[in-house]
Amino acid sequence: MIWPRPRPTRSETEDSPKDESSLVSESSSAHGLGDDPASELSPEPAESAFVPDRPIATSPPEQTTAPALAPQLPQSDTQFAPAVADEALALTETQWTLPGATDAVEVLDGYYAGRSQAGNVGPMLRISPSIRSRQFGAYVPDSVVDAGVVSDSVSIGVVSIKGASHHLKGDPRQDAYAIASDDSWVVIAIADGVSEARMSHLSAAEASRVAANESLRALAAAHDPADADWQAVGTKSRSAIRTLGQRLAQQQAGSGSAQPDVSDRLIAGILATTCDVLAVPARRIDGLLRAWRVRIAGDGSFYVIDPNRGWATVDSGKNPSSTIISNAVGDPLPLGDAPPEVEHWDLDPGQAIVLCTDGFGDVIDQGARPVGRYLFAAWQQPLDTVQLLRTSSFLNTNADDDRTAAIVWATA
Amino acid sequence: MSSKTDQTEELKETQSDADLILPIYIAVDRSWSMGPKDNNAIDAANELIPTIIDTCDANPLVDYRARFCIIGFNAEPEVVVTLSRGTNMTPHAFVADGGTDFSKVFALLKSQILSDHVTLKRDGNRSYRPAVFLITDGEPNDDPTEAFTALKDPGFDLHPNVFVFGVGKNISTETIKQYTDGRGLALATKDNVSAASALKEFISSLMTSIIQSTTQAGSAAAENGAVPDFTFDPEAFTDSDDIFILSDLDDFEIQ
Repeated sequence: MIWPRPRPTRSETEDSPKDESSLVSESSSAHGLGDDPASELSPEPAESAFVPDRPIATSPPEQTTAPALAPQLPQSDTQFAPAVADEALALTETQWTLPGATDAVEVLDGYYAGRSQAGNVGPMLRISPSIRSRQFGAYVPDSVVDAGVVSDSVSIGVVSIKGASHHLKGDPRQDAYAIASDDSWVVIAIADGVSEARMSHLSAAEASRVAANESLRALAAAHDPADADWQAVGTKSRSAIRTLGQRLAQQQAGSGSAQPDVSDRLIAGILATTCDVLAVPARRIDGLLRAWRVRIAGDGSFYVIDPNRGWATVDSGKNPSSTIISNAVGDPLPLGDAPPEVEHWDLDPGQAIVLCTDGFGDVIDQGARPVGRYLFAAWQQPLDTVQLLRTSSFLNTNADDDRTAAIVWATA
Repeated sequence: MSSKTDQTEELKETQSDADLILPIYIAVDRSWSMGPKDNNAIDAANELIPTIIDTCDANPLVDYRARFCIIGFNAEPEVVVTLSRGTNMTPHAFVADGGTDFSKVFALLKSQILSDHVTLKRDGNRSYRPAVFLITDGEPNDDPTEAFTALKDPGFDLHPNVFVFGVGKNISTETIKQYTDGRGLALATKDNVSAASALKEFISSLMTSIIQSTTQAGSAAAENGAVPDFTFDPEAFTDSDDIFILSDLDDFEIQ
């Protein structure tokens, strides 16, 4: 993940710890820092109004010409001006890309024998994976993967893999994900730590964990997901990173010292991260399977795979022509204060929805390039952990970033 | 109306992976004052190419994505290494001699950037905005304003980011800053530091930034026509004993 580095102000530069890498003790980790920081925060007032940046759909999209996210005027809510809704409706038509046949081949020999090579492989075969870490104590597993059958209509897969560039530099995987679920919902949060923020592997893990748990809590408390307190989810996720930064600064200063005064910008310098949430009901109800995407911060990409139509790029995080992208949530956590963007997609049987970090999104692009063609073929059906990890471990010349994807398959 | 060939090319482009190349131009002052009787930095300058080769040997992503063009200049500029991969370069020994002329090196840089871009594009690559590093230890003997203006002209699509490092103390900070442009930085040698030591450190930090730029996760995948920039890491100099940054970082958009 690349992010415009927060520009150090003179005072912040002068006040910053000399050795940021020593901010974390050997035993510290995102999950070892104590209780959920979010739980220490005051809850948002119950009357706090959720005001999304864009209207939320209430009706299923027409798959051929309909808006991707159907950002129509909610019938029961009059706070959105019709002109805005009409404009949004006009701007967001689904663009489908039906990929050609994949030309991926299997690597036959060498260290990466057995992996798939999608398109030009560039220098990737020459890059050996490394378990070396240039940061003391910064261990994060190279790859993590989960897959499961939620119901007869929903299966999920989530995978996160360290990128070649981080292997080269001895950096940990800075992408992370977390899953939360109950009988009604499965929530997957993904986060992409900003490359230049040295300890963003910690913040990515923390942000995804808090966002997943708080999203599940918000969904459980709401009658309609559109009315869930997503703003509180964003606030708590942001606060969690702020708390993490303050805690690390306290560790640096020593337990007997006064709480250091650290700004959000300074915290972002070492902990900036994106955060995105995908929430899906555990099963299709009355014919409807509506997946929700909550963009808290960042530039994740959001796709639909339809076996007949191809890839729909619902939100390509870096596509300037995207009607979905908004600078309102462009700042990485803990910066910014915009409410999350909330979107949904009604999944037809056979479709899959993919929320991913730019490690996948940049190489999938609109779906026609080699990686898009490869994954269109590979991800059409639910995959177990082994197959999901294998298909996600493709080699491609431009795929050097950490990559994380959450996939929901509508199996019926 | 586009031709069938254009449409075929466009289709091919959207269905294939283009490599994203970072063209780096390093212009090294080899005037008399770089020699042993003055700044004595020519030996340090001669370590530039071997350092690039070593860096690229050790880092396949840098070797794959960076291209280096080395220009030596005094009163006359000369391309001593055409735009190449680091591992394809051969060392070159600069000899300190002659005066210092900026106009000709700026003009040569512009023509090289243009011709190299044609070659890179023909080979199916996309490219970062070129980065130019001007390493000089003295004031120019000419007035390079016109040539510099042409190089940095916003109408010149390939106008580079220009970084200037002043070796030793014979060059004014005003001059160093005057010929910096775009996202480039002006860097100078600290007091009581030898020119050779400062240049050696500059080369080392330059390699760090090149690694950072070309291996920054996802850097090669910047899509949708955006032209990515070389990322110079000013933090490499914040604790330097030899070099300091003249540019105001508050005015410097870092990406």
